[in-house]
Amino acid sequence: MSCELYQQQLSLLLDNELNIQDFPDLNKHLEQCSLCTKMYNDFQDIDEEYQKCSYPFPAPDITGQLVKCVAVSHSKRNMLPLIAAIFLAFVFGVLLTIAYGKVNSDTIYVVQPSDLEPNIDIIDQLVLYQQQKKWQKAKPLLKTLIRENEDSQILAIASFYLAQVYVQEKKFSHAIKVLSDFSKFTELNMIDQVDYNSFVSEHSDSTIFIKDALTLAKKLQSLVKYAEDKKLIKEQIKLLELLSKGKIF
Amino acid sequence: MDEWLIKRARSGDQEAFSMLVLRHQMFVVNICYQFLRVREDAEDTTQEVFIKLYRNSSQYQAQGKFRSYLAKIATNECLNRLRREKKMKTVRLEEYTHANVPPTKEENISPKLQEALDQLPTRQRLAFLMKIHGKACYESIASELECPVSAVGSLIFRARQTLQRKLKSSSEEQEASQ
Repeated sequence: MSCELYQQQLSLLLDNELNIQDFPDLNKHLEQCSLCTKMYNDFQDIDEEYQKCSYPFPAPDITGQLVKCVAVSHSKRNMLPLIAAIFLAFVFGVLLTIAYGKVNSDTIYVVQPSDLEPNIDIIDQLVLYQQQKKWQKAKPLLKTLIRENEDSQILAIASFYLAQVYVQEKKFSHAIKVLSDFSKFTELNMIDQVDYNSFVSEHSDSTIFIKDALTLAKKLQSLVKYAEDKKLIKEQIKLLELLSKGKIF
Repeated sequence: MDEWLIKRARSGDQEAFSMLVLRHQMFVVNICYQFLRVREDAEDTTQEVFIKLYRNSSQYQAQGKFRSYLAKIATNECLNRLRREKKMKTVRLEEYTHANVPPTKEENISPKLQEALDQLPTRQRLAFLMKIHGKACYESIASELECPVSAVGSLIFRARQTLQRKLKSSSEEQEASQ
């Protein structure tokens, strides 16, 4: 057997994928072959070198942001028993109603926790990107939220937020399209029914993100109502330009 | 110390958590940089690693070394990121090398170890890093790289062999120049 094949076995040995007692030839070969012994030592040194290899840049300044995120997550976790209690009370109420035959059970849709969890993760991530001013990275998440969400409040916030990103990129027609799609979904006047204040209080851990989106939502409310009318698109673009120059975004 | 810090952080002690981050951030960012080869991505992923550490801290058993646990999270997060990038860019994982990313100014000053690592084929590099940092078994490396288990040993061996040659020749060059 050639040295290269023994060396391949030595690499497996280093990874605990081979028991040397099951390979007496290897042991014998190591005793005789200085080249393979050296190679084995070199492999060990290489692994150690890469494990301790130092990062070629200064230490990242991430502690502050991380502590903020963790504080948000901690407060959210403290809310869980309360949310669970409300959820159980709701389910109990629904069951009682069904039991008394007041509602047809086919019409009831109970929101499952699994429906909510992905959104919470995405919103957490968005908060992080917003703090880091990484708009480009927020974009795909916002698009996912819009595409996969039927919750009108989350949809409203995500749409306005995405419009904000587009305006920053000076892609005004994209911004209009997002707002227009949203207005179609909400049948124009839905925006008036969105209870932002209760949304903010329910999602207090994401207030930085939501407050900005809320301000934007209010500023653009009139635009959304007319976004479908193509004749007004040029006017809206002008208005969006003016709004962005006025540092509303 | 780390177990105590993580317990304190879990109960809402922010100082304990920031101390934990400060103690280990260079260790984590180093692993992420070796996988991702882009400074910004490495630092973003480092943040994600610590957030994950916090969220899953109840799962941490104080039996093993804390850094090994952290290295496993870092390895998984890097692989997740590469997978996401792959999805977004619709390129295959093996085609996703740092060569696809425009080099930044800072990357020109990488040390010889990094240079040697950069020159490895992507699958060899990932298999090697998953083994030495994530302590992953060959089965999980194989499933990650979508290759037979028998090929993993060969990938890691080739990586070690190439690194050994490159580092040897670079130290010989250095000696000759002196």
